[in-house]
Amino acid sequence: MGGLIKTQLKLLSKSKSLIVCMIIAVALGITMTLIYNYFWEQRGDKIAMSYALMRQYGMNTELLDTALDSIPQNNLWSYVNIFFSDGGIWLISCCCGCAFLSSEYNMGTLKNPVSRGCKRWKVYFTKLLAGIIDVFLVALAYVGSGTITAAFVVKNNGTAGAGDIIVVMICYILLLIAMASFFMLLTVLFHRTGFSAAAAIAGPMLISSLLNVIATVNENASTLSRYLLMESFITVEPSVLRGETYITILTALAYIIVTCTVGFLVFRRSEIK
Amino acid sequence: METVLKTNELTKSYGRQTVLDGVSLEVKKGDIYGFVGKNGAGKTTFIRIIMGLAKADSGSVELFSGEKLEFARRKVGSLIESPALYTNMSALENLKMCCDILGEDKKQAEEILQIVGLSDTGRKKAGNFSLGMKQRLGIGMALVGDPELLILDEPINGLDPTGIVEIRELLLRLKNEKNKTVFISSHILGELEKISTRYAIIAKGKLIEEITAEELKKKCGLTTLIKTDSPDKAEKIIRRVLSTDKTEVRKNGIIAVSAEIKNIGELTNALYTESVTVSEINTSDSDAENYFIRKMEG
Repeated sequence: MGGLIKTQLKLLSKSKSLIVCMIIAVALGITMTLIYNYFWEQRGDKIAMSYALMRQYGMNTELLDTALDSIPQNNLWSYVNIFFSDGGIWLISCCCGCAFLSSEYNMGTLKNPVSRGCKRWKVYFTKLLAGIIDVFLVALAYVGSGTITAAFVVKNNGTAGAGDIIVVMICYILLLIAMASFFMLLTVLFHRTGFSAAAAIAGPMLISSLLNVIATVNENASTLSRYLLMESFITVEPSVLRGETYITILTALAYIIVTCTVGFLVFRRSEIK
Repeated sequence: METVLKTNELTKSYGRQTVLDGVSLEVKKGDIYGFVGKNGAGKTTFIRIIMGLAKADSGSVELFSGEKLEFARRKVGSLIESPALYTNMSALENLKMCCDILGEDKKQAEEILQIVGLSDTGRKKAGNFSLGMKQRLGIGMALVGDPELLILDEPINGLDPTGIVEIRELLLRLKNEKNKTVFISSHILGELEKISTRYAIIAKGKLIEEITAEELKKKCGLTTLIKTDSPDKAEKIIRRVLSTDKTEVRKNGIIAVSAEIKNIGELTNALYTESVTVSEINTSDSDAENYFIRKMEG
């Protein structure tokens, strides 16, 4: 098993797709921070103007204060949450993860361990482990570059309570693992980078859209959409604040278990070419 | 002699198409076993099942007299279809990757590079190798871990004549110097004939015949190839002089005589007196190619 992990890490270190995606992730992280910060400052000016007008006309600002409490603040922690939930990670990780995971199908090198008697579950899980690292590196590049940029441009460096940060980060980590497992399943099903990346991008969007349409006639559909993997990234912080962290954690674990089980069963029976 | 590979009634279908139909064969230690069949005969599927890359619908595979397949496959090196190379790495790195997979000492990588004649490739990426170099590296990767059995699927496909000779010499060296057993599948019959000690002929998924090189020689006998300026006329004269009907005019105009010719001088004189010019006379140890083709076509 150690040898297999070593080969996967070597493949990862030589992966061109990872380097390219990390560069894109860094560039995107910096750009998005500047864009978000610009809009926040614009909004801040408008809010200040509203306060001034309300005071000028002797109006009660209590209602505005309450409304502002529910709007994310322009601080570093808000940026971390936004980067995890704005879909950027999903898009870049799709391309990067699927490209890396399917690279061995393209080169035909999966034959090497399997034909030499390595157990298929070992091959599958070492590949998955490398896929998870791949996705983590891309996420780190995107969120990290964005947050570092935010540290320079954002005036308010406040954060939420330390306890919340740890819980929220655990949720994100579990969701990233679930995401990598999902990509691995798609790779095992489709074998090709293009197919699996397209399915990883279009599939969740299609399901989400369908649920939205169904939600217009059946309210249960909107509850269901809460359990979609892509949606789960958006609802992490609100869930933690509402004390519903377990929903996110269970959703992530369910995805990990189901995708790993199905993926492995498919891989065990499939022909290696 | 010890059996290194044995299959019992291997059967495999894809949908309604049966690609392997009850194939049973046995490879003994020290053999260079030629697996002969046309394209699509089921050779690669058979090899893929042996190596655990595909599952048979029924039948069984035994390696090294029934050792557990998971462990036995560690003693088998293979090259299946195209070489499975890490295209973004050098030849040495490819071999080291294989060493890592098997948990083997990486020192052997350099020795294998020398065996397959790729020690001067330096940092050149395997993706930029010529087809011949890729095939040699593929064989090199099969050699990692010093396997007892080498299974090579069409290892000379697409190679130029020099490359074919190199691979042939390499395989003979591996058998003679390293005492490897080699199972080699090919549809290039002339090449198999030069190195194999045993053969299996497969057609449409069925094993037609298993035969040793000696048996094949006996069955094919000595063939004399005669090139003349008027093949049809010459064939009649040969049949009359030798009192045989074991002659055949081939497409290239050469007459193949499968009967024994005791006095070649008498035959050439007869042809000369009837105004037939003989330009070339050759003898071939065997006419295995025709034999294989006849068998494969049923």
